[in-house]
Amino acid sequence: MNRYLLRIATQLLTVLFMLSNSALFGRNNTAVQSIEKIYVQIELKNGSLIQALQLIERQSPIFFMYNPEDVKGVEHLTVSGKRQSVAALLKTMLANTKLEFKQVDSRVLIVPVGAGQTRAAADAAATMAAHRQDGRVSGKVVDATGVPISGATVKMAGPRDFSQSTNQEGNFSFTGVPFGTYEVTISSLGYVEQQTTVELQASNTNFQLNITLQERLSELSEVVVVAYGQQERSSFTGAVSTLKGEDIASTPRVSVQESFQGNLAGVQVSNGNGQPGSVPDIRIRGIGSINAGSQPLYVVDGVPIETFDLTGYGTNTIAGISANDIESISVLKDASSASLYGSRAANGVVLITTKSGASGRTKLNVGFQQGFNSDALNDRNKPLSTPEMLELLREGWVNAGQDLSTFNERVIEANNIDTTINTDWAKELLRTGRFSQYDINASGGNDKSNFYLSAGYMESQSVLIGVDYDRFTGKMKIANKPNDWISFDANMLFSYQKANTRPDASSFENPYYYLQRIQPWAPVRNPDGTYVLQYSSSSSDVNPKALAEAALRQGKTYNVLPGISASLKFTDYLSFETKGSLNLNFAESRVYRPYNFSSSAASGGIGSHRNNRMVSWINTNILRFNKTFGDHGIQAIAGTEAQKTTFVESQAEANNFLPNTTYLDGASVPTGATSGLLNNAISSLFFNANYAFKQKYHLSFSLRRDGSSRFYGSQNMYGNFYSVGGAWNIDKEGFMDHVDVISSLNLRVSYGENGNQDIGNFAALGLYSMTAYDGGTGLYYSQINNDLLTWEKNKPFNIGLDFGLFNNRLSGTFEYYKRITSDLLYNMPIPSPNGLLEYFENIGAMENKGVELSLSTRNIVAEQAGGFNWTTSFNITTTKNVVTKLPSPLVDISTYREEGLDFYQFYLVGYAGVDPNTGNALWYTDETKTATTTVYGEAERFLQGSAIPDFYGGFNNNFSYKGFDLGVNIFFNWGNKIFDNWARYSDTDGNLGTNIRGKMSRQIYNYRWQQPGDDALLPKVVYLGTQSSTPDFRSTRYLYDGSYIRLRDVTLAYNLPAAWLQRMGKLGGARLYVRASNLYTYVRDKRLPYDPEVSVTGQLDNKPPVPRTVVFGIDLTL
Amino acid sequence: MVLTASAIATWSCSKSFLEITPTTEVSTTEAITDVASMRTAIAGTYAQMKDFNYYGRTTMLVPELLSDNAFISTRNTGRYISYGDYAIVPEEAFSRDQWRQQYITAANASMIIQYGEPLNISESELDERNQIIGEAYAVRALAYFDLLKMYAQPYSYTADASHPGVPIVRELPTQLSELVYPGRSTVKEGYDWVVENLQHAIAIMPPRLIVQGRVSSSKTRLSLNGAKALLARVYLYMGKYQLAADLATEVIESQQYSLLVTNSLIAGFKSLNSSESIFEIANNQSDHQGSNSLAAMFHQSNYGDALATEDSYNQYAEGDVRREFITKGIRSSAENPAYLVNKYDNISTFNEHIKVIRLAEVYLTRAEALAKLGGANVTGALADLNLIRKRANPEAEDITLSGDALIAEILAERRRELAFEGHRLYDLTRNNLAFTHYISPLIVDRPNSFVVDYPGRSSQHLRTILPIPQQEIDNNVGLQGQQNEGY
Repeated sequence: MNRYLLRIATQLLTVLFMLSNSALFGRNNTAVQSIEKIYVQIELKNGSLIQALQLIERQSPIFFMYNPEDVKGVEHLTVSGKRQSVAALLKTMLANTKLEFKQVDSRVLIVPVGAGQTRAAADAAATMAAHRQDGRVSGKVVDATGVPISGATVKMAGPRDFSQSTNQEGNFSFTGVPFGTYEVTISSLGYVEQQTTVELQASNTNFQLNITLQERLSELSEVVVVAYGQQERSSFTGAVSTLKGEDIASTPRVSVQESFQGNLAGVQVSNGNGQPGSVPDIRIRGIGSINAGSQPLYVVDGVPIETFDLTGYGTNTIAGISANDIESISVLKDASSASLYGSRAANGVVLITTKSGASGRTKLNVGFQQGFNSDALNDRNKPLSTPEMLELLREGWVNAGQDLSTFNERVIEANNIDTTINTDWAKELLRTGRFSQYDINASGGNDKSNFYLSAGYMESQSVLIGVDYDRFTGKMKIANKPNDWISFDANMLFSYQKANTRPDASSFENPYYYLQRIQPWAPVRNPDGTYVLQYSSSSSDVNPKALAEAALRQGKTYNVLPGISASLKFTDYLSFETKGSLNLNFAESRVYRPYNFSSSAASGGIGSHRNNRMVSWINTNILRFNKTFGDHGIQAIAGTEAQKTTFVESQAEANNFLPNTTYLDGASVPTGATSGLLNNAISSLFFNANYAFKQKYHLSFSLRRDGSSRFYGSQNMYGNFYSVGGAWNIDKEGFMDHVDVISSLNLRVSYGENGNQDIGNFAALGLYSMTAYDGGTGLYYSQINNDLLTWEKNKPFNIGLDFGLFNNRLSGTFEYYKRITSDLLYNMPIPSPNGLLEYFENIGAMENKGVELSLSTRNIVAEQAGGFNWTTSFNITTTKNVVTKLPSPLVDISTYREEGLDFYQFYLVGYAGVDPNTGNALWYTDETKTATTTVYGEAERFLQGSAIPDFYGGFNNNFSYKGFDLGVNIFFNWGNKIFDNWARYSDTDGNLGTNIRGKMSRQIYNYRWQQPGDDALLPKVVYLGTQSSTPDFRSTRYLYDGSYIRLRDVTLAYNLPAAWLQRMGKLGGARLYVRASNLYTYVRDKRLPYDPEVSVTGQLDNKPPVPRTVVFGIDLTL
Repeated sequence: MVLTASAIATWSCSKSFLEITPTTEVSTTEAITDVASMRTAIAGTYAQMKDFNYYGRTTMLVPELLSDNAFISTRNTGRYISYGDYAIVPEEAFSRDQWRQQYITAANASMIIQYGEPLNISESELDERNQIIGEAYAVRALAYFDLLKMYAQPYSYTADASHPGVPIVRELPTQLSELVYPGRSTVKEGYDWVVENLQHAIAIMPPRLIVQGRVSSSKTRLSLNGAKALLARVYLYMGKYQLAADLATEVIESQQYSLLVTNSLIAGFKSLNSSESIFEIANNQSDHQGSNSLAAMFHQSNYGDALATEDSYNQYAEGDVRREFITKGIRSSAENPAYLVNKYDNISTFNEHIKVIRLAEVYLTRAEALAKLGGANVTGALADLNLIRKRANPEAEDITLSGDALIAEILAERRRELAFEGHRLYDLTRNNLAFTHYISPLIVDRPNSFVVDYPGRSSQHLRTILPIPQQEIDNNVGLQGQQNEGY
């Protein structure tokens, strides 16, 4: 760890040294450069000198002064497009004339030969300006903090109209502006428009404007990415939560979905898995299905992406997208926003838009991040030492009615326990993991073409041994618009992910499970330093450290997502675009267990190798109409979409490996091979229209018809989905003019229907499946024909109010939602004498409702750039889920589902504590909790609360002062229950005796009953006792309150001042920061020994722990 | 415009674009159309029997755990614990899954019968068609017989076998609208159904097994003699001793099987398709049950949860080679000594077949039937008994017993010969015998054994059969209120 920190420090120093180097040895330039050193690149064919000078002015800070009479004769000039200094260019152009040039500050005089020598330069300038009939207006546009705004539109209206966009540095420059009075309008998305007047005349030919635009605080003017397009929030009738790329860039998390947590109202994100790159559970506005999928649809740059775990080891194709390449994320939550995605929209839609180039100078960004993942292993979860375990066993021996004097002989010696060994398994199985991230991107372009290129690398090691992750990502996007009516772009994302993983839950290959169970007297190494491999011949009695190091469980994913699109503009209001994309995924999964572990010893080592390829192609064609007729505005699209997905998989297994080989070539006994192919296709028509009246009242309507191959065999291959919505921009009404407190107000309502087709590929067909018998193929009856199968239907209702108060110092959104899901696919049981166990029937119904509130405030607004700024944002979501229709209760080992209850109800025997006299465990006989029993089997299970939180949300604060900024993000999750499914094996009260996997938990050590009268939390320890705990005794003893508040992210950054950057030459920006995630967690239940973040089902499953990550980072802009 | 046109073309042809059928599965209506597809379907049916919820493990193990032959170690993986404790509940999963797997097997056989029988088959393939259809009848009979053994009291429980048996589906539904919700038939109806199916199989099957158009000596499929041996066993369970003895004789005299000799008994038992085997279920290297196999449950290098009782070990005399199937050893961190079963021990390739019927059982079936018939038949019974006894222990002396003592000795011989092959419990219960049930000697808070008193109708005795799985009752209105007594 120390050595590791040292390395980071060294690397940081190196970078700092490089930075200071460029500061020390960079050019020591002044504000005005010599024209010898100002380079331009102009192209002119048979033009005049005046034209040439204007071109030079456009590309440089130079302003020419001349007497038009002197220069008007110089014509028929041709200049090649090569890059050269202004001085050299002028020399060439003036070579055969009677003119010469002379630089005075930023001005260059063009005068007849000799004139420059005889008159003072300043006088010449003044005189000549009087003769000139045009001038120049230039300037810089910045925001309140002094950061340049690129892409701002500067329009000048006067004798002639001019328009330009600011470049990357926020600069603009109009030359050759005829004298006169101009109205200059400066506007940029998200900023308050500014106007000013300039008057160009002979005495004032060179205007320099420095414009500071104030951020427009009303979010209603924001343009958001929505289904198949973009729309201004004020006209949008749906519910959408957005994240900007800058909010998620350089997070030290692998999967971008993890950054949704606490940042998006209505989006529940729970990972509970410290395996980097794993798929977090995402539920948008509650749970929408029973037996079909409940995850949202992901659409990346317009392409619906298949996201299932291709390697089978908890990997995630979305994790292959670097957060640094993301421009924005929109989460579509209601009918108006999502129904356009039809049969795949029921669980919400996540739109991910990646970055594009912008016209302007080529910009290069470099990011560098180094840090570490460490575990927050709770004190309540520290493994017991050998003396502590022996203390418990001795006590248990006596409690079992045995004589303490026989303990050594009958327990210690009989079981060959070496009490001198005291292994700290936490130390052996956990570690501080490395984290690093490097990113580089370049973007730029001109008014016809632009590009964006990026490459990134990320590495994250889990705190659990054997679990780590590597990723390379890349992106390129080019766009070209040769003329007004056609444009093209090509976009490609690619990634490589490698994950070394361990199985979770109770697998004997899961080191985390062993951390809870393995005895402290189990030695790690032999006296000669080699690993002890096994503690008995049983495959489960294995040294988890040795196995984790020797075994392999690796998943690699290669993903390429190319897309090409073209857009044709027929008229101002009608255009067509078409897009073809391919989503190509290749995954490779390998497993190897070496010959020297008993699970694989008899086979001489076991290995398998699986490859699969998932290819999805999609074609989308859209016709767009956008026209305003007086007070009426219509925006409409109509389109078709077809997508086909092919999944091919092959797998081979073999035994008997040569030493040090893990590929099957090194194995001599092939034991199995399979391969298969799955296809599905979806074909759609869609239509969407938005109508606006006076830009105040908005109506929207959408319709989609989907056909899906998944319903082939049913009468319902096609489904229709729709939405209607309205919005009222109340603030634009006349009567609001006098309400000063309210700066913006917008009311939205929407309703509609969408669907869920996330089911098996051939769910409606009567099927025979393949199997094998005695070396031959076999077929068995596996599915009954279901011609009534249909889509799950989701009907979301949403009402939302967007508001801005006190000049938008406080703004926010309040939404109420209610979605009713019907025709839920439910695995209806079939009595087994029919030869099958279940079929899918559209029979269930569910309802999710709740409110979402998002607020953002600007608590302290800096008076000037660099002043103290403090902003806060807060969001909270509630969800109430209720199953409204279920043909019969669904009872699982720890859950109960029934009409009227929420979907994740725990159903367990109620633990009633300990009998103070005997130390026996007590359970409530039934839900009345009036009587207790000492016999587990006599206790009835009853409802124990839900895994669904009452509410969750985020509370974020950002402070900035001078170059410093500090961001503090807090996530909270409240009111859910979580169940430790495996505590039955660690909270055993002595049931497992001296079993090598029978270590008891620290809870037992701390809270057990010891003598009559003890008011203990946990029962007495009994050697091999079965009264209080066996692996079958699930009860509320292992059920915890899952409420917690987490300091999710803290970032302290320093932006190097512009003055320093200038001294460093080409550096456009530099930012140094320290960032920590999961720094502190408040857990409400003091008994809970684990991290409270678990999957949405509320089950603790011995997954690698979620780490605390601290990184040091540098971002440079060149 | 070209793009628009192509887009419209895509949409308009979308019906066929969407009509995607599986490549690794077959539509029900195309699954059984000729003899070749019948072959695949019968293989798929046997594959259901291989499952660990059926012959792959549960069906072989449970009769041993519930009787006096085996118990679950205190160090275990949580499997079958409640069986060792006689604490099975209707919700118990292995019992439920076994019930399901047995019905699934029967249903697959029914599909072959229903779709295969009406097919027009050419003369040249008629033998194989009859072989497969006959197998389907025999497999269906075996599945129902296994259900009756596990979930219903023995045939003799009531005088006319009118006590509850299991649901019978004579015509399998193939449409959702035709699903059936059958209640329990009587045990008599159940056994009659089993006999009817086996008789039909025997009537149509060719004398020798036909596989891929050729006569085969494989044991992994039910042949005519397999069906006869099975029917002999069924008749024994029904108390129809003459019929049992006659069929056993037919099998023995078919000359197609021979007992393994003494010194190859151990290895021969474990080998594939031995001369003694009549029907065994194949487990191949590539499609075995892995750690869910029976071997994994017994073998100490895998789970090894199931151990032999000391009592079962003590059944073998000094020179009895079958004693080698049990090793006196240690279960680490648990029982010491532990009696380790190594009758099934292939935990590397798992390429080990599960023995369902073998010739030694047929001899013992005949011996028991003849002994119970009494009179002059006793001579034949003694001859069969001594043949099996002396095959295992050439040093043993001939037995000359008669009456109940002879029957008891035959049953004891069955225990020795067929240990851990899924017979013991039924040999006890169908003969109304009390027995001692053992649990791990390490358990300190309860007695290590108790007597399951038959016909005392103790609660334990009622639990020598499994409960009707609760989920099956929940899912099937016809079964409601029909739980077994004692649960």
